[in-house]
Amino acid sequence: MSTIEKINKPWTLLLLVGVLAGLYTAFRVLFGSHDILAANDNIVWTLPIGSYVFFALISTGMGLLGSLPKLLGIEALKPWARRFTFMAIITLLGAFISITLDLGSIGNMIYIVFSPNPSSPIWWMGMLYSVELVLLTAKFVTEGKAGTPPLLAGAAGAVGIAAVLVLGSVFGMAEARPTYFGAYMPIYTLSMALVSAWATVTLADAIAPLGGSEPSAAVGRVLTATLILGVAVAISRVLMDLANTQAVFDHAGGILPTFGLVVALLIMLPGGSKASRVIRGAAAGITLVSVLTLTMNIIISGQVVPVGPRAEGLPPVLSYTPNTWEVLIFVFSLSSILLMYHLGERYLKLDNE
Amino acid sequence: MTTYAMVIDRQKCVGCGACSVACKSENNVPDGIRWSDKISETSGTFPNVRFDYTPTLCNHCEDAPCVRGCPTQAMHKAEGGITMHDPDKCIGCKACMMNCPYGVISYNWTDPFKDWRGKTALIEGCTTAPDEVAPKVGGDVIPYYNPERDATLDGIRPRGVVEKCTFCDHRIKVGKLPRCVDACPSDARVFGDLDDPKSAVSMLLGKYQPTRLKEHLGTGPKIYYIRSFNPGTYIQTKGGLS
Repeated sequence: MSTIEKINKPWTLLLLVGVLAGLYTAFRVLFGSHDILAANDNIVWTLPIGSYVFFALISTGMGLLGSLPKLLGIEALKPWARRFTFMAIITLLGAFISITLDLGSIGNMIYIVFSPNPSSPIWWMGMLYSVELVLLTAKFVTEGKAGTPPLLAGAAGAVGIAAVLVLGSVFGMAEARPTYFGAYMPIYTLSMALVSAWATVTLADAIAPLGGSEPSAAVGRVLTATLILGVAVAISRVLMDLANTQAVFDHAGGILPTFGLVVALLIMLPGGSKASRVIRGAAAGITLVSVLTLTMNIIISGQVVPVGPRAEGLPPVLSYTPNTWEVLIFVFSLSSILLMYHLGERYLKLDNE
Repeated sequence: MTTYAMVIDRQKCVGCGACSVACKSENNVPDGIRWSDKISETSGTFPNVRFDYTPTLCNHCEDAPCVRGCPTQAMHKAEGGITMHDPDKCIGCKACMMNCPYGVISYNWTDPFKDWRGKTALIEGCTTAPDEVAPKVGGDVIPYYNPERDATLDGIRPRGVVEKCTFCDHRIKVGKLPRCVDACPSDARVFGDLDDPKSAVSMLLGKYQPTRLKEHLGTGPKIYYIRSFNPGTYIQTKGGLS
């Protein structure tokens, strides 16, 4: 009996506990109130939004990876295309769990359709991610049969790119938050989508080799390449923060998670690291934690300096620490994704022929 | 065309807060939320210090970032350029709060007036429970409920949606001034139609050099501030070199 088979039951149980804890949290939030979260009228978007963005980024990146073999003829990725598409679907569903629990009136969501506002980035984000979910599902189904039509793969890829760019502009177009500085945010989300998606692939491959593939230095080389992109984008933000003269940028931070990405890159640079599944896995883990932390850092940095009358009676700079309920929302999303992956691995044919 | 605007004369404003109190009772604004608020600033070094008081409310911006960012048009522009909110369409995404550069939109994190919804009497069989009080005096949830607010907006907004100043649109519709304007004891707030050159607001804006909050953002706020209160004097001097 392999190690994977031995831990199958405890792992499933652990994930079920995570999902149950999440369901209880959902009950408390949806039928109780949102004041159990650490958010308030100053720090409005907190860990549930960070969790949503993080998983949405992974999903988009994964969706793009799943489309690459068809669109660009990258044969090396072909055996994993269906798996990537599946991972994109389940991480997007996990992201939806987090955002659903952050919304105050989910019953009014019908007005996204019946009272649309095309000038709103959130409206576009909602529409594009919904369309992407449909396209990814169609792609997953067709990949298991005759093969995905190139048009479908192209549409899924294009909608994914549009969705992740709009996700960045949700923050970038917030008039009141100078630290989100406009055009940078879509660049950040698109880059981190690729970085975090490949880090997820690398980590999954390190834990349980994907589709029985042999340890491949190519996985490590791609991780190194995406990390160079991630580090460049993260450092450019730190430099822009440091160079800006507006007082709100004094609290933008972002150095520590950027340092995490640099560490992951340094780990991956030596030639031997790329061939080692353990080192690749460790670097991928550090990368994912850094992307989550950096994303949270960016989201919170725009809110720590109170706006207008909200500053009355408060210190000039606020602090934020997620509370247990918010952590449980993240755990809910993560456990659901991992449980779906676990079940998919067992009951679905995830690898292409 | 009518474009409603408000001029706040900071020389006349004494910072009494009557506007905020009147607004809360007129619009059934819950605890912890203020549609009519203030920014107070203390600057300088003792004994040369200065205190500034800036009353704030929704700026009913011409190009309102909250309206642009709302995915369901719950936040929308209404007659007279008023920025209105429809709680029935609001999904509680809080994008308007993130987009508003003035910090004047609030969120109902929990059921409003929770204290008045309590079902437990302080002394069983002797005192009333909080939720028994409002019905006895004809209120709704709160005993001091203003039913007139219902005319254009939910009298009390539910949990999970945002709320903000509406320029008392329900009063404007029946020919009354916004409640904060009515309640100001020093007539520091002047309300009217910006498109009418003979209106009091137009005349004041012509006479004084007005300022608006964060004007550089291009949102076109409809709250104008004129003059400033400063009772200080100083000995006439040309300064000098030390």
